[in-house]
Amino acid sequence: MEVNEQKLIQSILHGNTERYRYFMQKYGTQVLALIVRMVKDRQDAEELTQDVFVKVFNALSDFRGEASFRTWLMRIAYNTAQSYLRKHKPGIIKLKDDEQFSESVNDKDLDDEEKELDEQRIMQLYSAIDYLSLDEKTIITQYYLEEVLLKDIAFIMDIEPGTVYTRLHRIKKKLHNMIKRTEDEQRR
Amino acid sequence: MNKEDKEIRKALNIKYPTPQFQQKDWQSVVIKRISNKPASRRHIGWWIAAAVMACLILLTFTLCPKTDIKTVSSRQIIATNNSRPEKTKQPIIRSIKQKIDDKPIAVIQQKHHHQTHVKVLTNTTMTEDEIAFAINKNKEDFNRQIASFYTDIESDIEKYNRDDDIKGQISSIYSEINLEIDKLNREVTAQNAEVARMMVQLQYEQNAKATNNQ
Repeated sequence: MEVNEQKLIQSILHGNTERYRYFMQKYGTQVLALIVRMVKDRQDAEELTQDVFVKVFNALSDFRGEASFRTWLMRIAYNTAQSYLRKHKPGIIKLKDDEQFSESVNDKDLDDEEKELDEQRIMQLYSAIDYLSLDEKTIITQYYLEEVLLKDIAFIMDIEPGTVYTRLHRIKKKLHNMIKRTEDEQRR
Repeated sequence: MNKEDKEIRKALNIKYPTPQFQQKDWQSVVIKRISNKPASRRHIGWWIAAAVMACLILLTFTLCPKTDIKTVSSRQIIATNNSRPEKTKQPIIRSIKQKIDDKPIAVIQQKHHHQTHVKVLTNTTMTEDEIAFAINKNKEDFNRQIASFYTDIESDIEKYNRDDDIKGQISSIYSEINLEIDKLNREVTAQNAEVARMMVQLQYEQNAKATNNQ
């Protein structure tokens, strides 16, 4: 049954704090996914996710419903991760966590059509993603993995929807060029 | 989703698989953290702050003299003026300073039909109502000044008109003088012609006399 989130927020504001658990159950993993991809440290990401939900709770009375609750929540998560990254310089980021993530890939989740895709090309893409900036990674993960609409990505990142569209196009071109360059080098 | 998009998605899936919380009771931790400060309590703080501010404003209005509350600067007030002479068509651009309590506060900027726009140029602690009252109190004097101003204009116009008369008279005198000069010129020409004719006559007589003598 579809829960009216606006009514739920009103109920929480009237003191039913326990009902806030609904939002954590529904969006917790998505918030963690966004943060973990940005900060690359699972433990820190989990702590930051908790901070995000505390922040959102404190700002709950300011939620006007202009965007969906999920988009608003993701925007706060994005800003929280950004300020974490500003405080913690890139040297502290644990890059080896990528390996840890790759171990947990569940091939069963991929459909048959995806299995037909050129594995070598995908691995090249996998490497190319490393060269993308943080914002570029956020855009493609939100768009392709979380299937967030471009206008919502724009809201989360506080940029124009047109800019998201242009950047997405540019990211694809960039990945394409990087793969082509790798292939050219391999041929030589 | 085209092939390229699927490839990107798969690569992303490998690189960034959906993470799961390792800390199972994280939701309870959050609930515990937020339970200490209900979200609605934040509003109570705002209400208290607003009430304190309202009290402070009320106290300020009650205790301070009214004249100190509002500063009037450069605002437009319209005062009625019935003393405008009908025959003067053009609006007056020249300004007249208004004085209230011997302090110049207003300058008439422009006048239209039966209305005078007064622009307050000097900073004053008087409220708008007080200025309007003071202007109305001085209205007769104010109107007298305007009437006097129109009289000045009229005398200026008369003066210009008088000047035009003088110019006409001078022009007429010039014409008369010119006529006189022409007349004199004509007389001189006639006299010169007579002199020339007499000279020729004299020369002729002298020649005739010389011939007879021979």
